[in-house]
Amino acid sequence: MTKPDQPRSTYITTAFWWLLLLTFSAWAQPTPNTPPPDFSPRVFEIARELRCPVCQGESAAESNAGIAVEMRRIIAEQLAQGRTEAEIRQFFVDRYGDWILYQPPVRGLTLWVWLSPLVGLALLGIGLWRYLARVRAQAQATASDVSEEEIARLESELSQTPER
Amino acid sequence: MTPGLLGGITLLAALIFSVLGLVMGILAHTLRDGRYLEAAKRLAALTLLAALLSFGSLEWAILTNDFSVSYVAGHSSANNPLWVKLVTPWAALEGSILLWAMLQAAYTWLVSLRVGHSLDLWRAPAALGTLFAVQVFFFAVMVFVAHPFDAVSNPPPDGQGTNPLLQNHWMMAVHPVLMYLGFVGLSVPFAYAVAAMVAQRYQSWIFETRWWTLVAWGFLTAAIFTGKWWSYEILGWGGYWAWDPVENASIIPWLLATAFLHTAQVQERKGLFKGWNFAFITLAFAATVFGTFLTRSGVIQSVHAFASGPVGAWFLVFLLGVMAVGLGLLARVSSEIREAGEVRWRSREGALLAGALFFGTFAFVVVLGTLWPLLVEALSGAKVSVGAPFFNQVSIPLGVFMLLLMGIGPVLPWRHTNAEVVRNLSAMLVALGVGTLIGFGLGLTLGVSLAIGLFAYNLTAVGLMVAQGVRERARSLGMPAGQALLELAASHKRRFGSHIVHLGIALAALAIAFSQTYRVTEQKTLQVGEVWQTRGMEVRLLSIGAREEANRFAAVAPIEVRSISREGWGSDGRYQTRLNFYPQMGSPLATPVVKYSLYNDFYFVLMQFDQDKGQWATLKIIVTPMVGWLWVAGLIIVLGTVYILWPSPARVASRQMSPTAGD
Amino acid sequence: MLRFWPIWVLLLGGLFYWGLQRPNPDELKSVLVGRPAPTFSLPLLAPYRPTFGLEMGIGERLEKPVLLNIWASWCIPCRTEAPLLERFYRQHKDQILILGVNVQDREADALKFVQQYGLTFPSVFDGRGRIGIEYGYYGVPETFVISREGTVLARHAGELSEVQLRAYLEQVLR
Repeated sequence: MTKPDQPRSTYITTAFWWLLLLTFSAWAQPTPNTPPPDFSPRVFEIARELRCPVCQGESAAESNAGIAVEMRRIIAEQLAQGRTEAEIRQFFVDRYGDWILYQPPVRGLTLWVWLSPLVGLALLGIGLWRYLARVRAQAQATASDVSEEEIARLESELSQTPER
Repeated sequence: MTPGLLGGITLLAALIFSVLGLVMGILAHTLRDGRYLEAAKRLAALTLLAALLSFGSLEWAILTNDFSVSYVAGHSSANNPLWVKLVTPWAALEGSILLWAMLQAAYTWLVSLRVGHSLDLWRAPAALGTLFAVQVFFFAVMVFVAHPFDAVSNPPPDGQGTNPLLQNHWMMAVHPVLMYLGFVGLSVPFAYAVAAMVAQRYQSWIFETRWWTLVAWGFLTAAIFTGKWWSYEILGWGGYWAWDPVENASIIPWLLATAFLHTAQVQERKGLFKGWNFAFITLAFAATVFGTFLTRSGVIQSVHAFASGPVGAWFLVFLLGVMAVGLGLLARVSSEIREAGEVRWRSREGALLAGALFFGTFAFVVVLGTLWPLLVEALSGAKVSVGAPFFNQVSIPLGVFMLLLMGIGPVLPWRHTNAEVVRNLSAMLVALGVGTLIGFGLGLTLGVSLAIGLFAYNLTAVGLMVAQGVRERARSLGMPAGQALLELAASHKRRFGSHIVHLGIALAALAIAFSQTYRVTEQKTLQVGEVWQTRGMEVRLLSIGAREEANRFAAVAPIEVRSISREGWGSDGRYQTRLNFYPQMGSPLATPVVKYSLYNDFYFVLMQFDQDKGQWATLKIIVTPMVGWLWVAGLIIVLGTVYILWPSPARVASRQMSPTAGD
Repeated sequence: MLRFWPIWVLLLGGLFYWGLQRPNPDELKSVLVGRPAPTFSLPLLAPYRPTFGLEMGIGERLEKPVLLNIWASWCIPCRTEAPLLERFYRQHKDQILILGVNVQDREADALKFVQQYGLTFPSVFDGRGRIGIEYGYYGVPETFVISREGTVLARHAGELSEVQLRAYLEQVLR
């Protein structure tokens, strides 16, 4: 079926909208046909910290699934009631558990993931230190094969020619 | 000869050739007979031919709508536009493995051509053997578990179509190929490393893999940036990186490869870090296998995941095998490796080592964060999520340190410091301070101000190095400054190119800091004709209509935008916001309209509309500052890499001389 | 550290192997188990109003234990489950109440669904899924087993089988 390219809504007949409705209801996951409330930027900021329960790894701010839309609505309502961000997050944790938060709580087992940069640095640092110590031991082992005067002569030569 | 038949036969042939190649490599190594090596080289060419034919057959099947092939029936449709059909091979699991295997065969063949030039007869069998082993794995996975050419007994009249998310943007044709080129490219330095450890020649492999590593790194970087741009353009949430497990799986090899790229330079010039480089490249290549394991096993939830299945177990075994080979060999030879001296921290090698330390830590943090939910569930049964907020917070301090080191590194000379260097460093620190203070003065946050300061710091570093080089040349060769600059650029390609790349990275960091901190999202429902004043713009909803296209149905709501203050500068225009309905998807796909400008990017998304009478529409507007510069930065980095790799007449001559000649 | 590489590799492998082998990677345990079920009262779908009144829901105390079944008309496993639930309800309606909550749906489609399967157990209409979120749902169908005292005993995500239904019935009658 062909349609005029961009019909203005005043020219659209009821029949066309019925057709549209039928097509959409055949394809789309139906949502009630009422406009959603307006969302301030803060709603999206808070939603970004929450996970969308039905989606594969999207936050409640990004996802267009029905649950996510409703979650944003809940956030907007609670903000209007004057709740704080922490209280709103707790609301969802009470119903879904810690899993719904994208920032793992800083206690218990998940404390360690927050410490992971320090742990990583420490592990790598220790490994590096032991490696360098071994290298130094190696270098000293070979250096002791060379006589002291030779070393002194070479050092003075090196300090005279600046290296770039 | 149907495409399915040809594809199946050539796929099996590719597997057999790869196995034979592996056998030839082993024989050449154990029997020290060069003829087996020659046979292996021929087999590399044959495998590539078979792989190309197989891939071509898949394309042929898709283009001719041959639904007797299960892959085509499952993932293609006769209604798909031509370009979508051309990219369908990598839209789903089996085809993507075929693409990977074909690229691997191509790389193996290229390496086989180098035998005799840069690969001596001692190490060539081990290197080729490793590459053949990797190939055997990928072809075997297809032949035994995930066959693209399985036959369908009753071919349906039409296929099930391609995932609509992959049909929305032409980047689908580019990004996956770039990514695979990068991933597969890392197998070459790994193979050389294995050969080096087997043949116990621990230094020369670094020279030979210099360009291979850079090429692979370049492809990876280009792939990551194009991936970011692609998701920015189509996903409708104004972001470009979600720290999704599969995205993390692509950045971990990138981090390790970057670290390796730099410590390899130290080994090249000073003979240090030999053991570490073996470990780094093993981990980098293992990280790419880890990435494909995550994507295809269903172990961790992700929007990018392919369907899971028995494939996961195979990839797990391969991952463990790669790590076992690399680390096992290293453990065996590490006592034998002799370093060329000590590391002094206040020198370039010290800075590069510190940088590698931070890149390694960053990679560790990303791996741990990605695996954390799995680990916690295994240990305690609890379910937790680790997502973007965590990674964003953790990457800030690490990123700051890395940017600091990126500036210092080139400024410090090898081996020691001197007075001129201290002067340069002071100038850079002054730039850092001034930049940060300017940020504070403008009322920006600490993170963004630091980003400005670090950008100024790196700009100063590059400027000082270039000025120094130009000054020396002008003085010693007696030429004007401009000519000296050109001469410097031409003769020190690597150094100059790295300056360009580092500037690109600093710019990217600046763009990321601004766009992440100051992005604003807002949503409002408008009646037709209503005007919405927000973010320095006036947005008017003009009408609501519909459009039917070959593979989808779209509701279109044209809007007209006028900027009324500085914040909305650059947003003027008329935009067709749309909501796409695909038959295969339950809910509609909101596709954004993006308006780029030098400062702010404006994103308009149609979220919902009045289905009964077409009188209202819900619009989401996202304003993101400075994000356009992220793409500019990506382009700069890629151009810098190309500049380094661009063959110059001087280098061709130097390649025949000692490996240490040239920059 | 490098010397112990087999240990690191095996540990990693063990973790991933466990990850591949676990039966239900996407399953989420409900935090409501053992806690009082959230109370609500929603309008019933038209066919049930003559029998059950205008609204229905979960109160502080219940006459009978309740199987709260969250469903939607576009959900295919819900369609497979519906005849089973209906049969079960007819057999045990004096012991247990099955209350359906229709979420993410349009009322017309919900009515068509209950007519198609001839469902006699009542369902309420929760178009946007607000009550679903109160219960922490993450997909459809989902069933909550609620005791007479109003405590949530279990949450079943996904389609129910005859065996599982009977097990829940036993659990709630104990």
